[in-house]
Amino acid sequence: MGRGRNRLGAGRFDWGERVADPEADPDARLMLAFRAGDRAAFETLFQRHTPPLVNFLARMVRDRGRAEELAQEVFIRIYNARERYEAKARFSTWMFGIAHNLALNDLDRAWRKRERPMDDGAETRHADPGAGPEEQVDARRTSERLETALRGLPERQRAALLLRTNEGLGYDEIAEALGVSMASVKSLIHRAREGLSQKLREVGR
Amino acid sequence: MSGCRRWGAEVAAYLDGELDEAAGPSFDAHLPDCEACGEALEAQRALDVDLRSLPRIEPSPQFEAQFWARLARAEGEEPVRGWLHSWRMRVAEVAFVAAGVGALAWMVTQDDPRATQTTALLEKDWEIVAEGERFELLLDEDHELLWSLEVLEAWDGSEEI
Repeated sequence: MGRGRNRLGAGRFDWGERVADPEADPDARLMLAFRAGDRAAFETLFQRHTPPLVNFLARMVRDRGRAEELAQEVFIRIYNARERYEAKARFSTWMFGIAHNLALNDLDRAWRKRERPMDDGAETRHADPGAGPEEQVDARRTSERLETALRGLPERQRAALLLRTNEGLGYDEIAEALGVSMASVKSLIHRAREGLSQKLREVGR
Repeated sequence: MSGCRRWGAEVAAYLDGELDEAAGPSFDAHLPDCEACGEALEAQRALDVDLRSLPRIEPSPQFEAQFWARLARAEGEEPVRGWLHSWRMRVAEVAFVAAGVGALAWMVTQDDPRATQTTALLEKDWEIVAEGERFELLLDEDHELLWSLEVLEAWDGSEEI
């Protein structure tokens, strides 16, 4: 398909054991409560995880409308998976794994149709409202350059870096979510940061 | 970032606190003497600060309402799918039974006048009523079908009925 993406592990989440005590994760406990019939637990999970999920997906697919549709799909899948859910990983790892797979599939479809995802002016405030006008302009330029450079990264590198830097996942959790090894995550993040630095130097950071 | 051959690829993991216990102290010892690693570390640290300061992309105000509506639709569809599936299976089952009974009736007509009546009733009076999940075979109460079924059950295939 021309982009050299390894599709292994992209189709389904690996339920493997990687977390010492996943039930210590309060979100995993909520999911278990939901499995037992507590719908309010699902609502709490939805409220808590919607913002990071939409943020991650919007930066993956570069279109907030699509990101929201995909985020809804993620929660529908979580909802439908309740009866077979087992707390073998942190809930957020599982959720981002589903999101990542959906994002890759979406980008794949767009690429096949040669649809270039459009940025829809998602509500990103590129400047601190408390800063002076010049600082605001500088901050906005920096953010825009960074967003542009980020969009230019290969998808797996972008996903790994975003999950690490913006969502705070550990390398083991990223490995689980992306369906790759820890060594691959280390390499993906290393190359992502190098690539980003290179792109920023090119546009005069 | 021309980089350090030995440690260049480990800078990101070091910054993230993900170097293993053995490698961490070694990198700490290496860092003061390696300009390339020092520069790479500072560059990546600054990049991380910028990345973390990117504005969060928030869900639109209608997102939540759209989701619950979608979920309600999805929940509503499940029984419909199940019902359709069930309905088709039941019709197939009924058709199978009807075919069997038809074959039985044909065999019975060879020498039993009562069976002729059964065949006629099968053609005229069978009615399948599908109402939601409830299916019924409506038969004339005086119908001889039960008799035919008993014969069929008792038949061991060794001779003609």
